[in-house]
Amino acid sequence: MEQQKNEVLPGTLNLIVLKTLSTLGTLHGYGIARRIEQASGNLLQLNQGTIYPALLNLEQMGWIKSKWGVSENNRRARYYSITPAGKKQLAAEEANWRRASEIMIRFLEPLGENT
Amino acid sequence: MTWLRVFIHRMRGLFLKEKLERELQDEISSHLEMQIEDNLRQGMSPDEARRQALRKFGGVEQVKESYRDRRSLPIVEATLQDLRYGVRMLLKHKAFTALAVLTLALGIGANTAIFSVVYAVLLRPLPFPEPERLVVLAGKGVGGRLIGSGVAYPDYADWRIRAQSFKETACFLTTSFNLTGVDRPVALPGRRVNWNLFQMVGVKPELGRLFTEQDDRAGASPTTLIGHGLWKEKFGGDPSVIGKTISLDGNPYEVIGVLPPGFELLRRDDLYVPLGLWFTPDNNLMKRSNQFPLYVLGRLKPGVTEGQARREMEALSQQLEREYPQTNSNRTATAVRLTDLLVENVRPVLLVLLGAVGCVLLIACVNVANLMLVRSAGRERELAVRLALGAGRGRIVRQLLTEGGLMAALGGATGLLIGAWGIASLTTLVPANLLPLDQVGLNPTVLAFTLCVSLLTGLLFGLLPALHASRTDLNTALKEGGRSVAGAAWERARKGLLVAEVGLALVLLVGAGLMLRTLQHLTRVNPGFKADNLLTVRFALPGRVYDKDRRLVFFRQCQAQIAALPGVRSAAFVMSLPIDGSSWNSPFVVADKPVPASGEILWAAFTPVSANYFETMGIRLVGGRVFTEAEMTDSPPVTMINESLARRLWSGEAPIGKRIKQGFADSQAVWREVVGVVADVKMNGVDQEAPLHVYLPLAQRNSSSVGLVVRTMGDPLALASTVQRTIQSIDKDLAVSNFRSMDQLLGNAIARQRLTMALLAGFALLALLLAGVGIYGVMAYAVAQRRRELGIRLALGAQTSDLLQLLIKQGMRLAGLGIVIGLAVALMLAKLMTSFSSLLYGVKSTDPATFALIALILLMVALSACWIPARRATKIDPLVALRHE
Repeated sequence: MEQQKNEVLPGTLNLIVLKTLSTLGTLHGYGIARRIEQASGNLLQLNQGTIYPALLNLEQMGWIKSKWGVSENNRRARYYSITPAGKKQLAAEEANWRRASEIMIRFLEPLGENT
Repeated sequence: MTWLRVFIHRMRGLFLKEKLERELQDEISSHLEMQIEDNLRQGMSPDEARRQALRKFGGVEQVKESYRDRRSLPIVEATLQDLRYGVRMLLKHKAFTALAVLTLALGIGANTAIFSVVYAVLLRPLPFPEPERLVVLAGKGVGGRLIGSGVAYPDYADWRIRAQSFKETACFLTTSFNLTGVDRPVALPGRRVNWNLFQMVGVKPELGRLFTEQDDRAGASPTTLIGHGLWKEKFGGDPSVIGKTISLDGNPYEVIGVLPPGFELLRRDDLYVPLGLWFTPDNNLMKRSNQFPLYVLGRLKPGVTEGQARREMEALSQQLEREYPQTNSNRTATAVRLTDLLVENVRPVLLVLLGAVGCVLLIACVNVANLMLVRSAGRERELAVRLALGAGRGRIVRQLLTEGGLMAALGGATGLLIGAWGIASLTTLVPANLLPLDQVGLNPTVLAFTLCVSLLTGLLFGLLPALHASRTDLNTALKEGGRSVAGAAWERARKGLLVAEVGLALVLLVGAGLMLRTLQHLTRVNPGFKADNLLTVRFALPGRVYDKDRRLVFFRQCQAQIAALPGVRSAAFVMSLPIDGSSWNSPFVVADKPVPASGEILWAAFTPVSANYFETMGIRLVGGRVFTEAEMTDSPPVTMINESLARRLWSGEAPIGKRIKQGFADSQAVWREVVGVVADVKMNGVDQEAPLHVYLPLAQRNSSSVGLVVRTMGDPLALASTVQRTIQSIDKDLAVSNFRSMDQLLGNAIARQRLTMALLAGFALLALLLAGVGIYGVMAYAVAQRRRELGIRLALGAQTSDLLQLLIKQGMRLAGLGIVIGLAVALMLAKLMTSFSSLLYGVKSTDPATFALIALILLMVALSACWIPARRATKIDPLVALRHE
């Protein structure tokens, strides 16, 4: 039986990609996708293809940059890495996300635990 | 600034499309292969590895599509796509495209050509500051003319002192000068002007200086300003012309300046000379007499309107009339904008033509809109399928508008070519004295106009089908299995367009018809003399060389020598050539009648002629005798009058023996006895009534400016150079050029109407053709639509004649409606054509014959346009028609 998987929350893919690149440095698209799956403990239902429009978007915003290189098994691939602007954006979004999820968590805590 | 960055990125995407597409493909395939390798490593079979990789990736095409959307600018991409698709559609339906584009091109081309003329003549600003504040002051015009005669100098002097409306005024006198010593002697148009005229107008000399006050008085050293054209033609544009002395009418003048190109005062002048040089106390000009050679130009004070100035001038003339009842009675002055005067003759022509080409363009648009409607109805299924597959309605409308725009662009480009060709042929077709066409051409303004017109037409005929398509009801369109279900509203729209088209064509045809009738009348007008085989020329005998007696000697000698030339029957001198305009108009008094009240003083054209003038011209003698060679300076003063004058003064009495005197009652002129009456002769153009006319013997009265008429045996112009040589053998310094046959003079006189007629007829025929095509198109479509119905009717036993009747009735109902509406509109517009443009002659704006004939022609064309498709419908094989569905 396959365990239940979660969809990527809308608007979070950018953050996930940025975080991945910031932690692991330079990666190709497949690498990023794999990493995301692993990091989520395979709990995230990701259509791998969707990261490419996201990567394009991030690059257009100037948060990541890309260049063509050769993979470990000699395959031509495009390598992405985060830019300084991307790091700033990541910090801002991370803070945002933490705040938002804290609020959500607080909201969902059962009431009256302290009473 | 992020948006800019993204924009630049996306622009890049637009241009590097193929490279980026390849990279995307590479990236995805390398992604997939890596995944497959990983899968293989996990022990999957190759097939399974591939399937799993693809599954994990998600839809490759969807990813690509959403990637592409982000990569570049979707709006631009979509437009490009629409354009590509549009081009494909246009290429696919070549005949349709060609027809539509040609129709539009004709409409746009005609508009471009006419607009270029309208712009050059009516809209282009004059090359000096605030031209709209310049007014011409002169006698009030009659018969729809803006101004009449000029003004006498003393009157002008009074105006200048009393008038409050003007910042400044200056007067000028129109004349011509014999330029000798440069090439052959030539007579050149010129003006004597007040020194301040050019400063007031605001023109700067191209070279040298303008006149000063010192130049403009009697006894000053003679100076002249020359026009740019003369400078280029006669002096080769050499700047050293400044300071040179040239000989005008035998007198030396120093050239002090050259006026800039394009500077004209109501006509092209080559020479300007200060007016004051010419003033002597005994000069006729200084008298408050009956000669009115001066025209005045004034610049309005700030805040004063043309109307205020005109009212002031009218009031001023009433003052002068009270002060000088003998000379100033019945002389009302007026003020007219220079810009209005410039275009007085051509404005109505151009407005009529502009209206006409506007109609042609509208018809073209209607036609193309109809064609597109017909086609879009045929495309309903295609559009419905596209809608069903998820295309937005906006997207479909945009697609159709793009197709319309594309067609308009093609039409505009082709139209521009046709327009350029039209301009070129207009320039050869139009006589130069009618329109100054040297300024006409494809300039940026005209190009902008063409662009706007094209865009507008594209919108106009693209919008209808687009709206149509956007309303398409998906279900019905698909369900009906490809049969068009154009709604009743659209059917009505198409019929309405057809009616409009027929109406517009009728309006144009009526306009052309009326002009044709006008021209017919004008060419049939009896001018009062025999016009064929007549050679004419005007020239001047310089006053310095020729006094009255020497002039007479010259006339005799010249006349005899020319009459002796082979091919010449006779030659005669006359002061003003018929048709060309009477140059001397004067009041007169009659001996046996009481002195008329100031309001009833009669004016006549006064024309000194040589004794054989009437015989040479072939003017019929009605009573009495003609002048004889014996009538010399010292013989008793005599005169001849025309029939109109005889009838006016002595109807029922014998005019012979009566006496008249030129001028007012107190004039010093001699009493002359009437010795003969001749038929009326048209003096001022073909469409003007013959004036009251008084002839004087040349021996008793003549001036330096004369006209020569030569009756020839063959082609008159072939003799021009011989006649010129003969005259110059008598005096080599005489400037004699510009020979014209009387036929040419007559032709020039009706050039305005002829041009209007020719162009209007061309446009009307075009409109007729387009309307015919339009009717045909709609009928053919209707027949195609009703194939099945017609087949059933035939199968049920309908006769072909029944079907024919059915179909033709349908088409003719529309055409008939269009004709009726068109007739009503044409009636209104034709009235306009007479009331404010005096273009018509000899034909009423409501001429029933024209209207009836035109309606009939249009009916015939409509009938044949209906007949052909209807006829084809009756050939339908019922079996085929029924199976066809």
